[in-house]
Amino acid sequence: MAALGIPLALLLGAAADLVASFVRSEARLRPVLAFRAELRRALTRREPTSLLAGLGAGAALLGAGLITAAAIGASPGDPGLLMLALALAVVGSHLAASERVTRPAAARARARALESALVYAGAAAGLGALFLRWRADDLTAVWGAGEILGFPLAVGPAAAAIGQALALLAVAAAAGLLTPLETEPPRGRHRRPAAAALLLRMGRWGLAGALAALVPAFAVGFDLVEGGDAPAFARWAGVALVASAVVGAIWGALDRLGPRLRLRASVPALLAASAAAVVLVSVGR
Amino acid sequence: MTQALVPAAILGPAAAALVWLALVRWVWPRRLVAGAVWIGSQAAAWAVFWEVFGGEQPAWMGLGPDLLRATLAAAAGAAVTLVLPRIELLAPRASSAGMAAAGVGLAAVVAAAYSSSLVALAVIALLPTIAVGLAGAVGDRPRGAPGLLGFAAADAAVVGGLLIVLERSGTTGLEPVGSLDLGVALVLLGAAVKLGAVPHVGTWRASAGEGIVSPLAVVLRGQGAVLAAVAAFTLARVSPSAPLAAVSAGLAVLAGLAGLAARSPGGSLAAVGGAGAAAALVALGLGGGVGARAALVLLPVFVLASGVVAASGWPGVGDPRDPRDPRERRRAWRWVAALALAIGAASLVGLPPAGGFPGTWLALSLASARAVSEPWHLALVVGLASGLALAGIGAIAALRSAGTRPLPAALSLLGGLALLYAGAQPMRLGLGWLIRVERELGIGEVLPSAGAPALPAIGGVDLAWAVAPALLIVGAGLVLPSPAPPRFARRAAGLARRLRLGRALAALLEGAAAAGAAWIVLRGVDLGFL
Repeated sequence: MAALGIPLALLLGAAADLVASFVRSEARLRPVLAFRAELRRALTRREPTSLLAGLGAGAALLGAGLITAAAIGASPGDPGLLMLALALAVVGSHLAASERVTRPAAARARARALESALVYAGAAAGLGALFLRWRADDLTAVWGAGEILGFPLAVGPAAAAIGQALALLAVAAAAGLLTPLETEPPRGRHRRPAAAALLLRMGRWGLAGALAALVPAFAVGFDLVEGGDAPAFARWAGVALVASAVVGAIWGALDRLGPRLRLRASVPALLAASAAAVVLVSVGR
Repeated sequence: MTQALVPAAILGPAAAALVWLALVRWVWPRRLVAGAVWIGSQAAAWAVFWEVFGGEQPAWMGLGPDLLRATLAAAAGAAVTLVLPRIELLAPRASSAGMAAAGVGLAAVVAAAYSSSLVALAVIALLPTIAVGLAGAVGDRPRGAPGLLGFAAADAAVVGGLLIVLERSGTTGLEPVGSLDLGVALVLLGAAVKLGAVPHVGTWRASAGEGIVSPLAVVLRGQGAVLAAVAAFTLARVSPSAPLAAVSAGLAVLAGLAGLAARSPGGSLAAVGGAGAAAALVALGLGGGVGARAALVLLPVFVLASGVVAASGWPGVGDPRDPRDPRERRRAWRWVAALALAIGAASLVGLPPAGGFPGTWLALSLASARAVSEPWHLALVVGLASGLALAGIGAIAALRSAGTRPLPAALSLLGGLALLYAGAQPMRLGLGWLIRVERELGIGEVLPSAGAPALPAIGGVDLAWAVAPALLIVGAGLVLPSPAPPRFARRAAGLARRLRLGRALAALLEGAAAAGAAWIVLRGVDLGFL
């Protein structure tokens, strides 16, 4: 069942990219059309891709798959695994994006690396706050607590509920901040091979989709593998799609900001939100 | 025969170094004879490990290991074996000094691991630093200087700590003191410097250089692992220590930041090693049965991964083949070394499915479980995870600096595959060994009914299922556009063209993304929702 993680993450990530494209006011269905074009170019042209780019994309997909599989109950879902899988996905995305980087792009990549590192810390803190909210060290325990207490935000003290909402928002925002790695191939001889661009796009979709899949795991909870009732499944699917849309909206909105504003405004805001979530959840226990 | 194993394991590396120096003028005789003596010494070290694992107690002149230290000695030997070809391929003068230091240093590490006397350990602890320092003075350039001041401070801390333990316990043997007091803390401080966990001090600085000392840093990391095991397991009996855990998590964050800021491949990879060492120290700081188990899983893997990274390495002073040279970039062996380097670096920062993953996972799980009742542990989790991720991102540029020589590349890949196996099969590989070590060290048994995190239940089959889709996607991306695909791929492509399968394949791949949706719908039908 763990094999389902990657297709599901890709699906949710593609949905997020479509919403991001809409927010960026791009042509309709541009991500899908670009995917088709890259796929065709990869199949018809002899443009070799480096092993490291492939390794990076594979790592990103594996990390995303492990997170998504955990979110649907198909693999263990404790914070340690989730954080290491997220680290794998982030490192893999950067490795895949490092193919044929020009000198100016290398400087941008360094700034992006710092940004991703800070966002990763924010996402990890947000995840930790979500587990702390349910006093659980595993997603199964979260779902168990949710079955008894109910999942709505209003359960428990107000501070804890606000903390949980902030943490969910931080995880979704982290997906938006982590995904916009440079995918447009530079022109001329530095142009990225089609297969590398395709793999990078899929790695990016996987990362966005995996974090989007975590939101319903904490907001409504549903063990897709062990089973559940139809309304619970509907809630899970609905929240997963809404989370993808939120991730996409944040992703698109952040793309419209300049890189400087992203680093100076969005990242501190995310870190502050995560820290506030941890404090609120700890206080409201 | 059994009686000869311990002296062969201890003296063998130094004897190999002597043979190497005696035959230094004749290239192939020195490689063959010294190599044979070296391999014999390593076989003896593994035979000692096997004897101890089987319940025997081989000893020689009061030197006899327990199972944990026999394992660490064997792992350190394997790691040093991986880097030897790289040292041999450096400039003649540097390599002479390097081979001698590797032999003497490893002999001292094995002797320290087999020692059960505080006084002997204090004396032996100094030897690897002296050997590596001398090699650095002979074969290095100022840029790759080993930072002897840091090592001197670390050695002083270790010797001082052991003397304090000696004074307080009133016995000359390695008897447990039961808590992490000043003496044990000093030994751990020295071990942290030797492991390379302290930024820009000691082994960190040595491993970041470009000279002969950078591959030799593996010897010092092996020594650091032995000292950490002696301090935390034998002397302190894995008592939890919040300050040790907190400081180590801070070191992990510093390592991550240093990795991002590094401007050279050696600097990035030293930061990766620093983050990995910090993870092992966090596990020791968490203590208790589960923390001890995490550290036990981490330490041997850390030593081996350091060897893999140093063997597949980065451009060194005196190496006539610089991987940054455009002509060298095209060599096929470079990709083998790059793959091994990636696996080694991933093992050090605990990324799945590489070797450091189970231990790091267990340490993070334990800290998360404790955060439920003591929320400050959450800072520990976030700090450690962030430090590891930062170091991993920082190491990306270094992956393109892997060497191009066939033998180091092949050996490091072999080590990398062993690390992948250790990462994917933690339960099958090490459960019996773990239980034996825990019983031998008197560590409290972790009962499943206590609800404590256990070794990751995820196994090779689970990981294979998770990896399979990624492998399919990436494999297609790498093989199909290749200018010189394998013969089977060329034939398949020709057949596909004749049968006009190109469009069908494109449609199939496009439809793969919809497979998840179809599964959800089917699941919905199964649940009676549709």
